[in-house]
Amino acid sequence: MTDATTGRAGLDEEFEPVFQPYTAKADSPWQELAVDRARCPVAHSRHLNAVQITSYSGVKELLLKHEEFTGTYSTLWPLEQPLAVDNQVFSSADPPRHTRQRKLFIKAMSASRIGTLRTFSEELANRLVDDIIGAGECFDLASAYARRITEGHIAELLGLPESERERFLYLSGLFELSTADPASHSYQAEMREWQDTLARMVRERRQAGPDSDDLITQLCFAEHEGDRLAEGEVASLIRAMIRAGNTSTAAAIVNTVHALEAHPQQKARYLSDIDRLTLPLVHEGLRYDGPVLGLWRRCKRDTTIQDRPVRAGERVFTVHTAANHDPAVFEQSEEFVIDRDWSRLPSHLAFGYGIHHCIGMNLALLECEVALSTLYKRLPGLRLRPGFVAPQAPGPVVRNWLSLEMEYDREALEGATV
Amino acid sequence: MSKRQISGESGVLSVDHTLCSGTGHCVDRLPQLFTIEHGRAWLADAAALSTVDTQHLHEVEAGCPWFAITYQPRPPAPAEESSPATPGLE
Repeated sequence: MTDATTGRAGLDEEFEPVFQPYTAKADSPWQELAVDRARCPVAHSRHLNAVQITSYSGVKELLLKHEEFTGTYSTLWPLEQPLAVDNQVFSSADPPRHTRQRKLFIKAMSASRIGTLRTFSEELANRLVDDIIGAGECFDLASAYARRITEGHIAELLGLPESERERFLYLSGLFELSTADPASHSYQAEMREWQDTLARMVRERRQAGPDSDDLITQLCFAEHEGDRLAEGEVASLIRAMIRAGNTSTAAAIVNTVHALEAHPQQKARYLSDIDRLTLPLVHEGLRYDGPVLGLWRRCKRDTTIQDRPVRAGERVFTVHTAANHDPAVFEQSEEFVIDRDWSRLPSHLAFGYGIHHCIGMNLALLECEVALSTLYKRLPGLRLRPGFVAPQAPGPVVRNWLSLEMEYDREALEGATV
Repeated sequence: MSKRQISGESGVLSVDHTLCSGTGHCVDRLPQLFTIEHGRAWLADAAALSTVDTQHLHEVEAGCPWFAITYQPRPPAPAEESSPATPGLE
């Protein structure tokens, strides 16, 4: 067995990182991540049993070295063995398998195609705000809005039956909990059952024929060099898409609102010019408190990151939120500044970089943009419920305020009769 | 002037705007050839193509996560008269 210590020869003087997300995950880990980024941006962490990378240049270098670092041991859990081949999808697949999968999805997820969903997006967001208004003056942003936004979009794209949506939303949230405790098996039976349900759905769509234009049917009949994807692989692709689409984007919406509510001056600025500031707000939300705290990879062959040796077999953990707070790249890097000019800045790494760049980026941006602008335009005096303390998701992989209780001025609603 | 396709002695380079998502991986690799405007990648003047090594053109094509860039190298001109590979060994 290759122990992580084999990669430490000659590195005895290396500082031990202070970031300890399994046992002491802070609501605001920025200070400890700043210490690691400044003192040991690429260093072995005993806590993670992995090489931890916290600088922007280090994370980006790793993401570009996709031939040296594999996601096949899963990017979400620090597994000891590679995933079963059918489960190696998207970021957990290496080329050429990854290239084949991505090519099948790329048209459906392109900026031009996702742009056609805008009307659907606006109608869904407005309908959800109607429901919030109908229900009273206090609501949970995560469950009543953000997760409904993402679930609605994914269901629309995949053509998921209404009867399955609620269950899929629940199941897609299980992975988030399981990343916090990789040794636990408590979610595995349900996640396996979900895979079986999806495989059954794939079989049914294949039997129904190629005429429907939903994404599952398209994948069922997509051909690559004369071959169709196996049912298990289609099921895994769909599961990954539901999982990433539901939880990550919902977290992006909630995290951005959480940050905005914690910065009253920035919020006032946003409310003064919602149309112009929504897109830079979305990117700042992703930079400042994006949904991906960090991801796992494994080194395939001896290499270096920022000139620090990394040995074949070593596990690596890239801390994306730390990279996004790197003062070498972003001015006022620890501040939440909603009107940065992103056309002049390097991209934040919330969507990753390189061949594994988040394939759902265009969908996520559309959802965040429409969700945030609709919310703040329609609910006057929107604010966190006084005294409410938001719970943060556990573990090293996810940044997500699991619940965000909010209230608004009901009597100030346009055309209010209450 | 910005374009979606340019051709030069080394071949033809193009950007498919139905796939491009404007993340600028191409600009990071070859800023002398690509720019991002209105959320899409555009190509600089054709003259710039001849300044770039063909290896880098293949890399920028392979490095686009949206498969939006295509580089078609121009086939080498046929040799006028082929000479024996190993003269004098007959």
